[in-house]
Amino acid sequence: MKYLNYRNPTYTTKLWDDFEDFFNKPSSFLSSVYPSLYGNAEAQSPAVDLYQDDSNYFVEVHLSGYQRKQIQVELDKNRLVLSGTRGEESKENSNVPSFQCSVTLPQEVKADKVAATYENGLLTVTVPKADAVKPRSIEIKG
Amino acid sequence: MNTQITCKSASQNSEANSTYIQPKFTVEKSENETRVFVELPGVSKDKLNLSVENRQIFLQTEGSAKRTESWEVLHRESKDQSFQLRLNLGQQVDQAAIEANLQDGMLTLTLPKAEAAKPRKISVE
Repeated sequence: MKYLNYRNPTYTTKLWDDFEDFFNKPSSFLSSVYPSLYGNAEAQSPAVDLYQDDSNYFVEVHLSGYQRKQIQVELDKNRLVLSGTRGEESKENSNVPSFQCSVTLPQEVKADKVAATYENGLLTVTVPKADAVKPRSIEIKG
Repeated sequence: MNTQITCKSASQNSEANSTYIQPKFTVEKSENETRVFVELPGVSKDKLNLSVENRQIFLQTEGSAKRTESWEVLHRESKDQSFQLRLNLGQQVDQAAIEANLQDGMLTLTLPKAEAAKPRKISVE
């Protein structure tokens, strides 16, 4: 199952270039879209890990040079969106770009109990699992 | 112009083995100093060994970020390896005045240019 949905939103702005690249040089196209899978990860794509134990999911993002206040963590149902933006004050690090990534958690979670810690560039988001993933009735449309 | 910094890959050194990887780093130069930014995500100050000897900076980290054994891996991109980096300093760097600052997983090395490397007047007696 694929948990990591997307990385840098800027990718869509050069969609046509990528479309052409796909036919001309597919391997470099794939490595630009999925850098981690092709061993060519750039600085703007931090390593993302997803772990679980009996009651929690843990998402770890390995960052470098981001301040705590420059990092945003959002949870939309069971989709976790992590992003970082650099302010003007850190001009000396302007060569390190911003990042964004989205992780879909496999099961329902307690959205109001999310906790995040940030230490030495390691962002750890702890998301408790829902008490029970209950069966739901599914509405039939149309 | 002399290159102030050259990097020796960890794999070229005798003590190197597969448990070390070279961190990403960038170099910025200005008139009076050179600054090196080394990406060390998850590395705390007490896990970082930094030394300067024979005009070479040697950086090594001990172990990786702590990971709880009971956690089951669902998706993993990070590596357990420690970091190792050697930077050769040119004669222009004042070795005694090197400063290092580790914050939020980013090490900043400030390498001031040696006074001897700056132009000076010589008085004739």
